This record gives sequence, structure tokens and C-alpha cells, in this order.
Amino acid sequence: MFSIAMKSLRSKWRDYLVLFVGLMVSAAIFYMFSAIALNKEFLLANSTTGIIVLVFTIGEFLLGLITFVYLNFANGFLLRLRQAEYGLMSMLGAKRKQIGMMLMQETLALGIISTVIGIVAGIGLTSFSGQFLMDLLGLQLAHWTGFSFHAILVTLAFFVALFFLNGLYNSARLSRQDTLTLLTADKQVKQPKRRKILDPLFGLIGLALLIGGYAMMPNVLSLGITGFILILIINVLGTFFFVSRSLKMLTYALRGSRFNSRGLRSFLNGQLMFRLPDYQRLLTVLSVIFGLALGAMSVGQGFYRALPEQAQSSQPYTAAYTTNADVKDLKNIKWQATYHYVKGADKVVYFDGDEINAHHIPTMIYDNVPNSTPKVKWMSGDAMIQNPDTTTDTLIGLANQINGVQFDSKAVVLANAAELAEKGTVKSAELVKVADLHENETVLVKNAEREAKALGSTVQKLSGSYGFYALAKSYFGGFEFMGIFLGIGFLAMLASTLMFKVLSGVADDKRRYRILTMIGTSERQVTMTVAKDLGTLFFIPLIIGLLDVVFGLNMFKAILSDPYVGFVPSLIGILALYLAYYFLTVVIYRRLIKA
Amino acid sequence: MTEPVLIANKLNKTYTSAAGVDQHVLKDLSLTVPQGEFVAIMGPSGSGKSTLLNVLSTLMKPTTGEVMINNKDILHMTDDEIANFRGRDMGFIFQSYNLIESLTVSENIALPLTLQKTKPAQIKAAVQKVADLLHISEYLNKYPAELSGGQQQRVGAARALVHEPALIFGDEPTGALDSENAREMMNYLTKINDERDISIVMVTHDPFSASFASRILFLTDGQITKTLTRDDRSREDFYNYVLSELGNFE
Repeated sequence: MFSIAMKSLRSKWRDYLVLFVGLMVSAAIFYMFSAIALNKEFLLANSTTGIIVLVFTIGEFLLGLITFVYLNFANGFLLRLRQAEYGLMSMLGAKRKQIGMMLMQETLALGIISTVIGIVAGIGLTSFSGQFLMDLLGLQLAHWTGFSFHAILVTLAFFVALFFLNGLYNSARLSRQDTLTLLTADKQVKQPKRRKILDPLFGLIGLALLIGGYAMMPNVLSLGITGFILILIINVLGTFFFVSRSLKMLTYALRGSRFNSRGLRSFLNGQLMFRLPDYQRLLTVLSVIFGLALGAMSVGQGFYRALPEQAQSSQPYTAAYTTNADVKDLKNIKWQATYHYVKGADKVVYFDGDEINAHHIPTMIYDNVPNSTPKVKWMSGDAMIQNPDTTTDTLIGLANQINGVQFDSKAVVLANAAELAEKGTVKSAELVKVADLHENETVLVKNAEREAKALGSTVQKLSGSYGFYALAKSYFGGFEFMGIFLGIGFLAMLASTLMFKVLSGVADDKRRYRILTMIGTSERQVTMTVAKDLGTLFFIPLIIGLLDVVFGLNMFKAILSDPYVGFVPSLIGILALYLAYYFLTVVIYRRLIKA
Repeated sequence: MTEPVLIANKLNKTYTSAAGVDQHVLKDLSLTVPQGEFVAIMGPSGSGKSTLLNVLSTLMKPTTGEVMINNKDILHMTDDEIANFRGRDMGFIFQSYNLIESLTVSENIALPLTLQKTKPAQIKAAVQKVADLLHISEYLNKYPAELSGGQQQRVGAARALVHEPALIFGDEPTGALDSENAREMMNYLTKINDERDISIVMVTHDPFSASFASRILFLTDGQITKTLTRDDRSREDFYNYVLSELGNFE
């Protein structure tokens, strides 16, 4: 029996390839996620809060849930692929037990092979994309590793267990069906039953759950982890009931309407109606994955964008250089000036008041209003001499940099250059402010490293917005990385789920579209119909996922001052990718049903 | 002599196998079908029956030769023209019914009309009319899977008729039916042919079904090797005549 099972794997290789690639990608993504989620040293070293471990544990659980639904779906496809052949074997005298055993062997063989290859791909993907992202974001994260033995074990155990359960479930399902049902499995259609009271009721319950979930999101902090899990469950259930019931009601309302009796609308409606039992689960999963991809990306982008902005708005200048720095290579310099100083004993640094009178020096003034942006005030040297208490934070920050410390330095403004010269060797510091940190990052990094080396200090201890940025990045860079990394992972999962669903339907649709062509549908009409047909699958998750993110970002207020700052750029990026993927799918699908 | 509805001239069709071997399936085949004629094409497996039907019905292009339907050269039409042509001037009845299982019977029948953007009221009337003719009115709101084979084949015939085409092609329309349903289906086709003057070209291996036609063409190795005409014979006489001729036929 084992050899027959293996032969059947070979006989329908094209269908199995679709299944296999889908399973492989899902194993690879699960590994990618596990490699981070199980790397506690990495999580703790690169985030400011211990909650991150819990967040990832929940994330892992969620991904496990999605994978479970996905595998269940994939195995249903496997069963459908094999039903007619099993029917034939049963007719030829194979026992139920033998057939069940064969299905189990096939499921496990497919599962183990795809999981192992998926893990190998996952290790490569994790290492490569991790390194690529770190380079891109200018991060160096401690304890990062693409290879994790722990993650390999967890992925393997999880997948084998799921395949085993699915195999049992499929065998049980198979043994309940008689030979004739199996033989004609291809020709049977499932039609959802219409329930005039229950459908609208469950649709409304779904909507209420969705709205309730959204309403709870801004208060997630006060609700705690239980609240977070609750929101998640409410959202998934709400999406499921709302999408499935409203689509069902819509298709029934359209059936027989005047609107439906034009062109291929009745065909499209029929397609949707008959796929609904499959679609309702799938659309829910896709909505959640779309929301997760966009959400993770927005949070990652949020940090990427918020950190430089925060740094720029809280510091009066970008960097101060006491060594020969490549200032001329910086773009869009908004302001620059040179100040002379003498480094004295006990962390005191002296400045020239005349010189400060000539240039003035910017400092930040904070209102006592929470979350308000500080304003820049230009101070003269005289003001600081008359009242030493008004010596600006700017000068103290500069003194800290010169002393190679983060705190405790003193800045003293002297009357003129002559008085300054009496204190010791006069040196100069060049202060620069640029418009954009990201734009100048390469030059700023080079200059900062040179400066830190000359002062025997570290980049994080330098004054100005770049030093602040480097410091903030060492605290929050982990979030930035994880957000974008997971965003990419979820996107890949989304693409693979969609690809799998779409390709697994080709065989059935090929026949339907051939009939349409034979009774007078033009090529153009077929292409348009394919585009609309696949459109449902792509655009419903987009709308729901988008709503999830619009409300869900509220949950990150605790760690990001403006969680929405990364939303629009992420949305544009993901939408562009998603649309490109949609058009590609339509083109491929069109070719497949024509072939 | 009525105007011919279909003229096929010197059709050749060659398939090249993966190994590069040419197989000549249709050889210089010519054929004319006057309007209102019911033609059956018979022949052994591999004689080129299905290929001929596919070429005549625009589903396949011949290697050389020409096909004119209603004075239109169907081999030089654009995709859109072919689609319109199939949707307006032709009807198909298939052995395997080829109904779309996700649509109700009435939606399946209406498809050729909805494709031509006919008004909903006209569609409804046309579907009802053809359903009455084929005795399937009571199944209009059912799905194909809920019907028997004979009923499904009548739905397929209704779909081929609903837009009142000039020509109907049948590919073994009784192939999947029992003798009772086959007889019923052939009676319907004869009725349509008589009453509406619709021409029918049907491929079959069954002499009983073929005996309903007014002319039978026998195909051997891609050529018409024999033609039988019914003339004034009754259907039963023609059937016996076909059987006796089949006995002599190689």
C-alpha cells in the first residue's frame, strides 16, 4: 500500500506541486516567526519592555491558528484530489481501513517533506531577510540568529502533529462516505442553505462583534493581556459571521434580479454562491493576515519614521563635531556655526560669550503641556553670563559630548576670546542642523563614529539629534525590525494562501469557462469575468484588514507617540504589492484556464 | 434549392504528435448543408468525426480549407466576432451536457441571451418558451445536479435553442442517455428542425439517432466515403436501411 501511496503522489504532480509549495511557504513562515518568538535573549535585548515576549507568544499562537486553518484547507484539497481514485479502489475491493491508511501515509509523507524543505527555506529566508533589513535600517541587533534549533523543533513538531490530526480527520471523513459518493465526488456541488432569520441575525451579531472589537482597541492597555486576546477572538468571529452572512444574503438577493440577468453577472454570482462554504473561512483568515501584515508593517514603519522626527524635534541641532568632519557632504543643511571652547577640570567646559552673541545659540523650550512639540529659542552669550542658570541645555549637551559622558558636565560662558584663551588650549566645535536624518544617514554615521573615537566615547553619547537618534534606535530599533520583518512574513503568507486557493480552483473553473466560450463568450469577457471573480477573493480581505488596522493601531499608543505615522507609507507599499499580485494572478489564471 | 447555411471547402487538419509524427485527420473534406437540413455524421472511432464538428463549429481551426456559415467566413473572424457568432447564430448540444453546476436551470438556459445583453423581460419570455417546448418548466429553479441525465440533456438543448440560432451542432447528444430519453431527445430535435427550420449537424455513432436525420454522411480516415439520404422513407425504414448499409460498411 505504501508504494501505491507514493505512486499516487507522482501521478498528479502538478496539483501536488501547488499543495506542496503552499505547505512549504507556510512552514517557512512559521519557522521565521518562531526563530524570533523563541529567541528570548534577542527579544529582551532589543525592546524596552518584557511584554514583548508575551506579545510574540500570542503572535505565535495566532500564527499557529492560521496555519491550522490553512493546513485543514490544504488537506481538504488533498482529499478532494484523491476521492475519485479512492472510490475506484474501493470498488475494486480495497478495504476502508487500507484506503484510510493510504490517505494517512500520503498526508504524512507530503507533510513531512514539505515541512523539512520549508524549514530549510525558512532558515535561509530568516538569515537573509534579517541581515538585509538590519543593513537597510542601519541596525545592529544583539543575539540575532537565523538558525535556531529550538525553532526547528517547534516547527517540525507543530506541523507533524497537525498533519497527523488532519490525516485522522480525513480518514474518518472518507470512511463515512459510500463508494458511489466517492466516485462522483467531482460532480457534486455544495449549495449553502438559506436561512431567512438566522442569516441576518448572525450577520448583525458579526457586525456588532467587529464594532465592539474596534471600540475596545484604544483601551487595550487598561484591559491587559486578557483584553488583547479577547479583542482578537472577537475580531476573528466578527469577521467570519459578518463576511459569510452578508455575502450569502447578497448572492441570494441578486439571484433572479434584473441586475443579475445581464452579461455574465449571473455566472459570477453563481460562482460566489457555490464557493461560499469554502470562502467564508478563507476570507476571514485572509482578512486577519492582511490586517496583521499591514499592522506590523505600519508599526515598524512608525518607529522608522517617528524616531528621526522625535530626535529632530527634541534637539536644536543634528550633530556637533570637534574633529575634522565631512560637513560639506551633508545635504540640505539648515543651519551651521562654529563655537570655540576650552575643556577645563571637573567636567567644566568654557565658551566664548562674544562669539555666542555674534551667532546666538539655539536651545529647546518645553511647554508644560504633555505631547507638545518643544520650540527653538535663540540665546545670546550676554544673557547666559548675567544669569548662569540660563546656560542652555545645548551648551551642556555639547560639554557632555566633549567630556565623553551623558550627564554631569557644566558649561560656563566667558566674556570674550581673551578670557577663554586664559583657561587653556582653545579648540572649536562645529554645530550643524540638517533637514533630514535618513537622507544624510551614511555621512552622519561616518562622522559620528570618527567623533566618538576621537573623544573616547560612543555614538550614543554624542549630543544633537543624531546622537539621540542613535540612542533611541538602540532601545527601539528592535521593534522597528520586528514590525517590518513580520510584515514581510505575513505578506508572504497572504500571497501563498491566495495563490494556493486560486490555483486549487483552476480545474473546476477551466471547465466552466470552456462552456462559456463555447456558447459565445468573447476572450475579453472571459478576462473581465476572471478579474471580477478573483476580485472578491482579493478585495474583501483588503477592506476588512484595512479597517482592522485603522482601529488596531490605537493599541500601540503606549510605545509610539503617533502610531499612525507609518500607516500611510505602509499602506501605499502594501497596496502596490497587493495590486501587482492581483493583476499577476489574473494573468496567470487566465492562461491556466485557457490552456 | 434553399440557400446553403454551411459550406465547408477542402478542409484539412493535421495534428503533430510530441514525437513529431504528423497525423492527417481530415483530408480535403468538402460539405454543404442547406438551410433546414438535418445532417448526421457517422464513422468509426478515429475517423475524424469530432475534429470535423470542432472545425465546423469554430472551436478549432483547420490546417487548410475554408468554412462559410450564413455566407460568413468563420476562419477569418476576430475573437469577438467568433464569440458573437457563437452567441447569435449557433447552438451546441454536448454529450456530457456541459451545464454550469453553480447556476440554476433557468440561468443556464438564459446564458446565451444574457451574454448578448438581451432585456430581462425578453430573456424570461424566451426561457419560458423553450422550457415549455422541452417540458422542463418545472425544473427552472433547480440546479443541474438535482436533475436526471435526460433532464439535463434537455436543459442543454434548451440552452442551444433559446437564442433561435440558424444552426445547431450536436456532439453525440444522445450518447449519455438511455434509449427512452434518446428517442425523446431526437424527437425534440426533429420537431425543432421541422417547425423552426433550424439546421442541425450532429455527430453520432448510434444508427438509431442517425435515422432521425435527412442525410447521413459516413466518415472514414478523414474523408466522406458514403452518403445516405432518407428521401421519402419513414424513420423506421430509414433506420433499417442504415443498419443494412452499416453491415456493408467497413
